[in-house]
Amino acid sequence: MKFVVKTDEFRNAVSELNTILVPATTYRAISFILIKAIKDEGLVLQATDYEINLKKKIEANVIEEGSIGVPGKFLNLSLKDFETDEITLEQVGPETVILKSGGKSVNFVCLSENEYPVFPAFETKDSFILSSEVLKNDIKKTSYAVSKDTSNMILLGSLWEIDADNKKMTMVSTDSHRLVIKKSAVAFQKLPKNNLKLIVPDKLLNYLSTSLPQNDTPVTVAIPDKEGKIGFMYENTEILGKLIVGSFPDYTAIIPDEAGMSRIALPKNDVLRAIKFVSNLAEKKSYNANLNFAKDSLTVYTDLSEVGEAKDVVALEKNTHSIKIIFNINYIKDALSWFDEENVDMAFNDARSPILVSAPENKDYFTIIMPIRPLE
Amino acid sequence: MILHCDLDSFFVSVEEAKNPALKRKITAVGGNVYGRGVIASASYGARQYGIRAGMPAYTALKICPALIIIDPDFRSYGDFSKRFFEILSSFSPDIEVMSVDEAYLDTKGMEWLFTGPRKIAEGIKAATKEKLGINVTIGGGSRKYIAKAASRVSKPDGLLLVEDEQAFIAELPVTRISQVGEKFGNVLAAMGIRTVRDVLSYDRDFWERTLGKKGAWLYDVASLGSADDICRSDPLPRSLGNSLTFASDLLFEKADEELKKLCGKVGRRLRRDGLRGRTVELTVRYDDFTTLTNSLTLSFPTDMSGFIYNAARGMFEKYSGYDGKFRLLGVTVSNISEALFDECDLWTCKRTERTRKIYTAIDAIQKKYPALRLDYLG
Repeated sequence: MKFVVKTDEFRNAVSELNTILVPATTYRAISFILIKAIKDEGLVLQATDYEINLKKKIEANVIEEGSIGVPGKFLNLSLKDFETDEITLEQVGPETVILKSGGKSVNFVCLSENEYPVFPAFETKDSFILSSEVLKNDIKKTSYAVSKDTSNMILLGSLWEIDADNKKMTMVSTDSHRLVIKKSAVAFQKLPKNNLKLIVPDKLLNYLSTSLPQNDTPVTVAIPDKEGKIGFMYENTEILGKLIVGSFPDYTAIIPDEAGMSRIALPKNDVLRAIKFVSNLAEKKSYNANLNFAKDSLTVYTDLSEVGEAKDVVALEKNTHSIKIIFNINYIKDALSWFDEENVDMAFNDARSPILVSAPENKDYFTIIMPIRPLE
Repeated sequence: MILHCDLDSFFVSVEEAKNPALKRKITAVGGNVYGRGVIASASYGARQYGIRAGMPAYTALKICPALIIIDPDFRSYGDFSKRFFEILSSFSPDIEVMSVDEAYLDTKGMEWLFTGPRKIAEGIKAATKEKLGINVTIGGGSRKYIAKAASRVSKPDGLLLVEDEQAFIAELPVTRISQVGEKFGNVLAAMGIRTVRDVLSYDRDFWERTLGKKGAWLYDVASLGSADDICRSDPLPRSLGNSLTFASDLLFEKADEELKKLCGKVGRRLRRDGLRGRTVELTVRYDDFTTLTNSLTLSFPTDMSGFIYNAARGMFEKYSGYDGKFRLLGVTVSNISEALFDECDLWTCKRTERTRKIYTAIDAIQKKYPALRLDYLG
């Protein structure tokens, strides 16, 4: 195998593939990138962690065809230091390749292609096409609330509901103490044959939210014939991942009826600044803070007995409600941060029931948070 | 000065305090003799025969057929332990509890009440003897590890306040220094450094050059150049757990039944102490003694046996395919906080409230009838 490739393109692709890789355990393949060089076509680069399989095609001048697995981490690190526009990779032994350009060269001990897992063939049963920007935006706004608690596997991903009849897409994430919902009316370039319910795992969400292009590039989302998988195709990229199989809890049952709730308008950035200020005292990642609403003001207050106390007061125009609610401060911070609007409404019944955070006049994006309830 | 106060052969001493006739006998506290129990605590009489904690009970009886093995009574050990810490608290507010029978006490700031650390140590010894009827050994030094080493060499019923500390610690193994763990100890051993004297045979620059900050720290501790240790009384335990070696090895399904009981017990203890834990750790020992641990952190701290069991069972599930049998299971919760809040979530609020009421009722019954074993895993 021998090819010459543009350093930039190769570097970018390798660095993206590296986000999928994990340090090798007994299965070595999960720390290698499989490179296939095909004449007149270029390179197919592939990485897998057995949960996600990522393929990227890039152009290259292939002098001799072949394929081999190259250690991803070291290839990635080495590529960062090559300054020339083009770079050559050549196989020099059964399990050795050399990467060189200018005065620099580096040898890698490789993995032969037959040690690399064959990812199941991809046959599409149903699919839909939508703009990358919409998909990326909705994933970003919801994936932060995905649970990290591995005792409940179902919540380790976001629920996607694709409503083909009404051309709508809904994404829901929850860790059971907070829940975020994003609904979008989508101009699908292709509609799925059926309505779909998919639970997309966290790692795939993370990859998509960082790697999808921020423009209207069409993304094909494919549901293979094999159950429990999903594929994404756009530009030179193809990702196949495993879905979480099971039934997501009925989120509609816990959405409070907003009609009877009291509302307080929050100036988002002021509240976030106050939270940031009281967070200076936090030694742990997760802790509680008191939100004390009074006439025309909100006091954010934290008492971490081992360190000290901190508070900040935010002016609230026209607030007449007076209530004290305790929250895991990260829940409020996350919820507010992802709104584009400057003013955000908080609706509540009492200090012990779930609150609802949304932007005024927008019913398509909201968060529900369970307050911390002191023992009675 | 820091005092390391360590009760002598604690479990046995408690048994002797309860039944003074045992004092003239060779005794140990431990698990069932005919099965596979182990010695938990050996009296000094038994120790003369080479009987040690951790030794299988049948081996101990083979060595010394006259040995009396007493069934453990953890309730009274807990009670004695509590009273011991109360005694310590009457001498200083700064106490760091290390285990049921061991604590560090800081004498700093108590000069106005007592004329020096020796008076405090003597006071603790006398009060413990009088109120609990058991002996405590006390070691004193400017650092915790020095105090601990001093109590270690003066057991039983000893008192040693180290005056020439540098000479005292010279021959101590480096691993006795707190925060020098097994890993760091191995690094040092590979360099040929075994004792504190070895550390001091190089200068501070050498240590900083070779091991960076950690090296400089080691030199400072060994040369007594760093600040004295302080005792930080942490009212919360770091972890709380129970493990059980089965009377005979068990298959998965039967072991799972035991797991339920263990989780029930851990939950009960958490609720009794008003604590919650977020991380659940499962220890599994196969019949070939291979021991494996797994842990899982929940999204909320809990004291409900059911949540603990769910987490433990999830981890235990991966052993369901194991061909052999299980010898021991252990469940420990850590990441402990005080039970100040309700753990209910968006879906289960009503149910959690109901479950909590059931636990409250069950715990009340349990308290009234301690012999009853109520295992509820709601």
